[in-house]
Amino acid sequence: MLALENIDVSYGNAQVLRGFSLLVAPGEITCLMGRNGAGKTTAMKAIMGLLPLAGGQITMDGKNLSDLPAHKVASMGIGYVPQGRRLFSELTVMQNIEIGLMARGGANSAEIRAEVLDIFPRLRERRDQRAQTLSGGEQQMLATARALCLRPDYLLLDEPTEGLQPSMIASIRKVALQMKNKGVGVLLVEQRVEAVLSMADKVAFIENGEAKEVVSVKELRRDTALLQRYVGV
Amino acid sequence: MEFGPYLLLASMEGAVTAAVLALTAVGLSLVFGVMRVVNVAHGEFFMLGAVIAWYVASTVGGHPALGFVAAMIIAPLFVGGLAALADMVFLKRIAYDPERTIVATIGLLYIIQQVTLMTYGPDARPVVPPFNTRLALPWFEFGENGFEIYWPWGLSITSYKLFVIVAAGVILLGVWGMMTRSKIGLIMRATQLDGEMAQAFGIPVERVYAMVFGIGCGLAAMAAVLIVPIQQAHYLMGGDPLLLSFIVVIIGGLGSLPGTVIAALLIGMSDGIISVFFTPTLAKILATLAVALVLVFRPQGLFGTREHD
Repeated sequence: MLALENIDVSYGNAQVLRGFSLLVAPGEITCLMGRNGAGKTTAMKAIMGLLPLAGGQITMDGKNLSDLPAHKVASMGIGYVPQGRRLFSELTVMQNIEIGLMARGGANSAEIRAEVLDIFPRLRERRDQRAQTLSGGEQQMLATARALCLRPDYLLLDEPTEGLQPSMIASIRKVALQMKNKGVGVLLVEQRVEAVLSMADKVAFIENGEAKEVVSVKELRRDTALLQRYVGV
Repeated sequence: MEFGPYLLLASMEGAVTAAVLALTAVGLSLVFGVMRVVNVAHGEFFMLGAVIAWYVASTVGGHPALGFVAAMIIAPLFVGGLAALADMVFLKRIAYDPERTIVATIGLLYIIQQVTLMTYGPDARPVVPPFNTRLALPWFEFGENGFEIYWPWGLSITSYKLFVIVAAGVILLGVWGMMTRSKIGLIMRATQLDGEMAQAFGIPVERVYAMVFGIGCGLAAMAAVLIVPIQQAHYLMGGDPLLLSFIVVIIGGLGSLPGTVIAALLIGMSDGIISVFFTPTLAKILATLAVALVLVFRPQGLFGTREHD
């Protein structure tokens, strides 16, 4: 279980997360929803150790991540697909994948590389192309592939369908569901309601940096007023 | 001497300047490219390399080549280690903030310079070159008997100067190989492109920064070891390499290693040629003017790319 327990996170004097808590279970897709600026991306960065905690703690399967330097978090088994992809733009497709493999420590690299390229065969065709020259969909594939190179126990997907065409959204959804079926805990930040309803198991709402209701997708389908209240749709 | 042979002689001098400058400036460019740190103390790390080369060469004794080889190994390692330590003690603590690192490296500049003055003293001291044979250079003319090669009096270069050009070229190729072909180069480039994402993928960015600062300053020290048999070691010798390195890095494009090397060739060659034909001062004036023109008409440098917000 990936657990955020009463965490406080600030950017300078601006406190973004206030006593925020969240549980991500293995083999489940948990979606974090809220309005822009509610603190969704901040929560993901806090998990990755990219923002310091002013209070609370983050644990993964009982191990405290809060005290680890940022570069150690990935090797604990957390893959991160950030908002806007944030690929190493001037590196090639294969070099981006190598960075993902290094994060895992380099064991079984050839096997994992082949596995990831089988999931996204398009990347095999583009292997020597610079990341910045790929289409938006291909870049999202690469960002996801880079995270999958860690063979993660938990996968963080921040707005993975942003700006993508329907066929690409279906492909990302398929990968998220594959990971879930392999027992990976997926934390998804997503604005598209239909995407959330089609892949998530539960939805946690966040408002002004505070955790609000956590509901199953079934409940959400019955009570869409929650979406209106917390997301405005 | 006629103009042609004289130009060849000036070009050879320029090539030596360019070779040493390229090494020094690539160190500065590497540090700026990866860390976004403007290392104002870069020239002092260069000077320290020269001073340590003198210490090592005079301690080792025996054939000058022994001392030189020892200096070529010890000086860059010592300077690189010291720079990495300075990174961890000073730059890391101010979170690599661009403005504060400028002030911090100005402080480092004075610390290194004054400690060197207190320990090494104010004298300029020579290091004996490992070999120094004078090699005559040929020239050609189209005379009454057609194309003829002859050996003009005074047209020559020392074997050591040729070695400096070749050695700098080999080291630069090594740096290029490291950046483009090695795992550590991949890590450095990833850190350069997006430090936060590099951390999210397990790269210890602060350790990479310390290593890059060490390598950058170590390259300056290597350049100094190469030049010290020609120029002598002196505690104030860091000023010119710093100025010229900044000129080269700005013209080449901040953080662009190929741009830095090409700009070093342009500036180094023109510095050598103008110094021989006119005066070294005019060479510096023209180089500074070139920087001003680049900043006005192409602020990203000749080979740099514009940064978008």
